[in-house]
Amino acid sequence: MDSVTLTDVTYTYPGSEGPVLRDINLSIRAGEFCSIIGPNGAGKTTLCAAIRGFVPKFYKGDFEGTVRIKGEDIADASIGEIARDVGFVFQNPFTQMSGITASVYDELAFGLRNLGVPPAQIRERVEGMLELAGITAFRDRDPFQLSGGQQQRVALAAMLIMEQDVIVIDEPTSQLDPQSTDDVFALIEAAQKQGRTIVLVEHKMGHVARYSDRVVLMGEGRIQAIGTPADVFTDPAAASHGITLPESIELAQRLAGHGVTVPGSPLTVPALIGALSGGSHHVAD
Amino acid sequence: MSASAVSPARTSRGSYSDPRESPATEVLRTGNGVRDLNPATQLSLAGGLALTAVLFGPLCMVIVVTICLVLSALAGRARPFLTLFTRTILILGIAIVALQTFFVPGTTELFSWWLFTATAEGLAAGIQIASRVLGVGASVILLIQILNLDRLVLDMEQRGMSPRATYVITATVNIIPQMRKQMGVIMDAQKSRGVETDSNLWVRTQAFVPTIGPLILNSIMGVEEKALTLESRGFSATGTRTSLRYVEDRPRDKRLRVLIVCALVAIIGVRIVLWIL
Ligand SMILES: Nc1ncnc2c1ncn2[C@@H]1O[C@H](COP(=O)(O)OP(=O)(O)OP(=O)(O)O)[C@@H](O)[C@H]1O
Ligand SMILES: [Mg+2]
Repeated sequence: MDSVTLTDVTYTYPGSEGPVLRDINLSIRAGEFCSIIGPNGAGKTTLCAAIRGFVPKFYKGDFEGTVRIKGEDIADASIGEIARDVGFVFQNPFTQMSGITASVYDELAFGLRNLGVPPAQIRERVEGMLELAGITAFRDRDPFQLSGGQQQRVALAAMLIMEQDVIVIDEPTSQLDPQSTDDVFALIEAAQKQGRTIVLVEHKMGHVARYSDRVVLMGEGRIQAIGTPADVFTDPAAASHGITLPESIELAQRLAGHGVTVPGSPLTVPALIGALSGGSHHVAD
Repeated sequence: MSASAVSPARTSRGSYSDPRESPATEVLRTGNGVRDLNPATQLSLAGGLALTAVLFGPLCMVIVVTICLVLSALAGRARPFLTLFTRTILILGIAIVALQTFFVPGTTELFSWWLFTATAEGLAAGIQIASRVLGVGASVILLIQILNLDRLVLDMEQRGMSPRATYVITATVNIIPQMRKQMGVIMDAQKSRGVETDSNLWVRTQAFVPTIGPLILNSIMGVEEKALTLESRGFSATGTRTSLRYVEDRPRDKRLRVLIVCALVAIIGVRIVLWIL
């Protein structure tokens, strides 16, 4: 079943010159890990906002087409109602804190309290999420006293704890070091394993290649390429839109230039090494 | 789990049991009798003291200030009370007396110094005003010592105030430290672009100016996203909300408030009688 469906979506922000999204048609299956990539200003964030209903309900502007979540057109639902099905984390973690809680613990509990979840259950879920997100160490810290990277993890955890079916995350690792980036991807993958649908905007192509079921390449408001990571990263559109290819694919392409053909499109460096040392490579004379 | 464990009946000083006190709900309590009074009780206490001081002026000021000091001491806050009181209200009071004594015209000359003449009328007027300022000031400082903002907001929520209203209060109180932190981030960004933010006051002031723009811009843009974030966390949900914390309003709080109201009625009565006589 399709979890998120966009049909002929074209959108112009109020006051902006041309459409920021043009003729977007996209279906994301339930439980799919779908990454959106593309250069700055391509419309990635706007696409996310359209799935969450912020576009056009909050940002107004000219909107054409339909967005369906689990088959339901969201045109008539309020932003609050859509929140029950779609979780959303913004690019800037600073604005993701409720602003009224004195500790990370309370920050995670805030959403569940609003929904009237019984106290004992809230405590259980908060403890579980602190553990899962690896933020137990700063459970009693003021969310505003955390570093940008720590805040990003808290923001993500505070959203994941709401347990929506669709999770839209805009560049969750922009301020994270490599270790924390890995941790965050593990966290998102864990959510996917629970059957939730992931829509992720990300610039770290190595991680996109490794975790995604499908990759959407955006450019100038249009979908330029869509498919498996292997398809999209080997598509000429990727290079022409300034995408830094994952190391493994970059290496495979360079090797091809030197006459070494690597079978398939290995998405990680270990996979590339495996493909090469498997003896299945062909060296042209 | 037995039912008694879910809602424990307390038998300490006026037995009561509260259904809201589930094992997962934490009662905000410090262990100090004065600070653990219900915020409404604390507010009426301070309000009553301030009103008494205003109504009676010099007559009651010493009593009001003494009560405030004693209550602060009971709350374990005598020292901060005295520090704050002497550094602000006491100085203000002395200044008022001095100014009034020298500047209110009068016929009874007490003494004269350089261009100024102290009058008895001025001194009397100064004492009238200053005693009220001291009484109200002491009550406010007492409140600062014993009232906890978290407990106050929680109590207002428990009394049925809308979450939006309590959000505005809490967010407003928190905004200064948040802005300060954000300013640090902007300052860092500008330092990395070569704007000097470390050296002397004048240089820092110059460096401060360019941070104001981004700070205001950030807060405006932040407001939009924050509104959407709250929305995503179910803030606009209409059902009952869960509290993980709880502020007690014990029978003795209620009795104390009744007592305060009665005392105030009596005090106002006395005042009126004194006016008429
Ligand atoms: N609130 C807004 N009002 C008007 N125009 C906007 C608004 N937000 C974004 N835009 C414009 O829409 C276009 C797409 O922006 P969007 O934020 O979706 O890009 P993006 O792909 O997320 O870029 P980045 O990688 O920098 O995050 C840009 O040209 C941008 O200037
Ligand atoms: Mg973006």
